[in-house]
Amino acid sequence: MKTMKNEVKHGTWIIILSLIIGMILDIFPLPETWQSFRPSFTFLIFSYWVIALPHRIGLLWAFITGLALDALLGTTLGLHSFALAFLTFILQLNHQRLRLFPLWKQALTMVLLSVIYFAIVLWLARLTGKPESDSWYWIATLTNGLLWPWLFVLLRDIRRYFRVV
Amino acid sequence: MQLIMTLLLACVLMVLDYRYGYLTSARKATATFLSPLYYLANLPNEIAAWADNNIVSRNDLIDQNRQLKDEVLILKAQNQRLIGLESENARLRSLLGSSRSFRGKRLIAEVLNIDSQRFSNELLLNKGSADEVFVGQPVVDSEGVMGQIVEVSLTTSRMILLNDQKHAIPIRNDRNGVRAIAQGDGQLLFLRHLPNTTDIREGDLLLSSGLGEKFPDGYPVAKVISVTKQSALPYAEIMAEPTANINTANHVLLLWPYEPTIDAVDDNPLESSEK
Repeated sequence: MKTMKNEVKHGTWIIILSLIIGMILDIFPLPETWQSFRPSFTFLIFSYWVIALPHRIGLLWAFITGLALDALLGTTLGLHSFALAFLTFILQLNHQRLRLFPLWKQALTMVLLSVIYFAIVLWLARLTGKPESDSWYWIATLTNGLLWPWLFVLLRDIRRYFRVV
Repeated sequence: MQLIMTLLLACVLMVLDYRYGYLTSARKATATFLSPLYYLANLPNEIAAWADNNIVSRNDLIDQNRQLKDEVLILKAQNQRLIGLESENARLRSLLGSSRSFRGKRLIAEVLNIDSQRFSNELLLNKGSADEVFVGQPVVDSEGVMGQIVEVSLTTSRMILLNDQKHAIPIRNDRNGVRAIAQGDGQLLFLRHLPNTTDIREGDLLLSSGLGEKFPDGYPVAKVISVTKQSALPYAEIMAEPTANINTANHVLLLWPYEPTIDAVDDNPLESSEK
């Protein structure tokens, strides 16, 4: 019983750390021309944890992570919370199907989910008075898909190594 | 059910934050809490800058030193004239019964190289409420007005640039004193609601007029780059380019213009951020 409890605590630490690294990568300075290709690291890492541990990582986590993202990116508070919570719901409904997909199919699904996520973020950003963005905005959905297989394998190994359950 | 509750909560937050601005203190707290992340993400840049500063040849340093000395001499000479003009101006103003401080407190801040610009033209500075930075504070660089502060945390602050779509600044034409409002369009500035008959030409320098009581008066803001007058349209279409190095500035100057401190800080007007 005691070891069980320890493991749970241990895992939480890893999840939070990975999300923080994702946020740093999200605001890490890149050359202007590469900016629109930047994958949304936090979103992808969060999606992985939802698929892997749907019983633990749910809407509350999505809400708090979203708030942190909002504060970091200077968007209206609640904007990324909304988008992440919505996507978390979709992921939680489909996590078993997603786990069984081969990696390439997972990547395609992630592109689709990224499009939904980006659409919600753009829609809410426009509602709260942020300027119009060009079509380059959507290119990151593809980089999200390209990154997903690597990220999935990496995070899976990390999860197994630290025995996060 | 849980989903709907969470989404509703997010919506309420957004409305409170965007529409009513109730959450400024919550924002400030979160931003302060997360500011180590900004510094972490900026770290590689800092290291590169440090290496740049420390791995320089002696000859380069001597050259640079000489150049800077020359520049200081020239600036000092110009400044002497300004001091005379300033005191004369102050005397004339006191005759007219109006007073205005010219030398408020100022502070150099460093731009943190953070990409949070996907949604707007904003920069992050390394000074916050610990240095008495306040929301609405004007920010300039060596060439002109940069923008103003929109959000302050304990150690960082966020500034909106002149050319953001949500930003507008009252200006006057240096050549003839025509007043207007310059609004950003994401890249450049355009002058709003000026009739076709207004006397504004290409190349005119636009200065801040100080009318909004946000920006001090007389700082260069932009240079007119195109004037299109179509008789079919009610207003002339005038575009101007900011004079400040909006996309390349590494250091900016924070101003405390509307503060009744004229001589108190005059001895040491520049507090460098770098020791």
